[in-house]
Amino acid sequence: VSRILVIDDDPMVRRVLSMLLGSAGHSVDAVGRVDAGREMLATGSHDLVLLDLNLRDGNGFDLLTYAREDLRLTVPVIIFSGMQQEANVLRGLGHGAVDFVAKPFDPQAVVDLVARWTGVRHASDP
Amino acid sequence: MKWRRYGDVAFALLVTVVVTVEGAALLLIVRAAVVGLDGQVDATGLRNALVGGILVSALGLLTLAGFVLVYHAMSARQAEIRRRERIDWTDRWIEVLLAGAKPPASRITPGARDALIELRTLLRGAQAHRLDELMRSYAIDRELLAQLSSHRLPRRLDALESLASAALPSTFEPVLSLLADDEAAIRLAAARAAARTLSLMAPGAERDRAAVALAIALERSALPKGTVQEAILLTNESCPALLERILERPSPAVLRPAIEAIGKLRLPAFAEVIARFADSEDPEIRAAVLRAFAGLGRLPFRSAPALRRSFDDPVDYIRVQAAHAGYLLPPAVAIPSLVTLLTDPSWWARKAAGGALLRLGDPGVRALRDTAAGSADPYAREMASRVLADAGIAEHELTSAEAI
Repeated sequence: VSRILVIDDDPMVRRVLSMLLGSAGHSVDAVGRVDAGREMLATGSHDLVLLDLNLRDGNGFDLLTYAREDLRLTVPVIIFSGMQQEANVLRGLGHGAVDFVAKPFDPQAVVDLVARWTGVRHASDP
Repeated sequence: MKWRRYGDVAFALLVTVVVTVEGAALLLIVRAAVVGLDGQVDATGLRNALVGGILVSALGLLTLAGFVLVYHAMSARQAEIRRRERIDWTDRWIEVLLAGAKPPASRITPGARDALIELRTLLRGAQAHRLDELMRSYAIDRELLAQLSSHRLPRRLDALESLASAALPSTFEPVLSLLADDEAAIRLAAARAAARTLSLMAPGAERDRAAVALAIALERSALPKGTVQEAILLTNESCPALLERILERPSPAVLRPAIEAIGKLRLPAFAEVIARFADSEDPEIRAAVLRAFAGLGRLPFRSAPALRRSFDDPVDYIRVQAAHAGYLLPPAVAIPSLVTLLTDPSWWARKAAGGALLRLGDPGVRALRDTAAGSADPYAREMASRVLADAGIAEHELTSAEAI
């Protein structure tokens, strides 16, 4: 079972992803605020992070930078982004995200992407 | 909080009643005072009329204040009930989608409907099609279309908002017809709903026909250009037929929004087409074309002369846009023009020229350094120094700006 952290300010997205990934056998923590996201990241206990770039009380890039530079986490981060935000997606990838999902999203594609990245992570574990 | 959009009629009625009663009380006080001056009413009668009038006024104000407070308390409670209902139904719909749970057989509540529509906005792919089927099975499209014929503006706007989220192709034409509505707010909401529905239609002849229909409706809608642009942007890059139709038969109402949208959506396939308008008589169109070139990062070969002419355009915002797009010219051509623009009377043109020089890389930076160090124009020196300093290339040059 992989532990997934979802950081998205839309409660509907958090619910859908929690149920979707939960039904795929993952354990999901979902938060909607930047400070809660920081706390969760600081535990360092997740195998994958799904991060929305446009949070109501802050910026997903800051969280990504926090994870990569302050916490030195190597956990794979997949960014969620609305359409027409190519620049943000590129910036996110430049900040250390490994992939992105455009909203609206295809649930099966998210499950597949999560399986791929958690599989990669597990395969590389000692 | 949709519920708070309502209650306006009740409040207007209450205010009318209170003002009428207070007016009547005031009349009674005036009458008592006039009659009292003639000595026909004693002091006690006058005092009673005065106190009665004041009490009626106070009661009226209390009633209004009470209504507002109760309304807000009730609407907050109502909103909370709706929120919980929506969450509950969201979970149930997700179970229907993911766990194969059986959907409710009978008619669904408004909360269930809202949750279904909201969920539809989040998803695409096979699960989104399943949601479309569910919406059709509960006749949500028919229900929302019926709501459009309400005589109440908030109800019609709510219906259009839901239709925009549901994006059901079956609702496209009825929504499109509302772009000719007398009410501007309805036309605006209808443009958004139609554009969103179009953006989620499957590619094919039906979508292309719908795109042409939307282009024509936008031309005739008399909507502000910003709204038209928003509608075009909402259709996304998935709908070139809409832009093709607008550019084939350009109309002043939609041409500029379409060109702006091409730049914002970064659709390089249209670069050659919009180049036709680079010499338009309308300065807004010329500026939009230059902005689009800058956004696309591509300058069609035959548009280079037009861009060079724009550096000397008498309209300042054209020169600003030309400067922004200047980096698209070969450096040997662009640099002398941009250096000249650093002496432009417009601060924005100077700033844009500095930015474009920076984007040209080493030769542009050299031109900026030369200007900062040796230009005869103090404003050019100041801008060149500022641009270099902002880019972290040189710290000391700002001293030349202080000389102004």
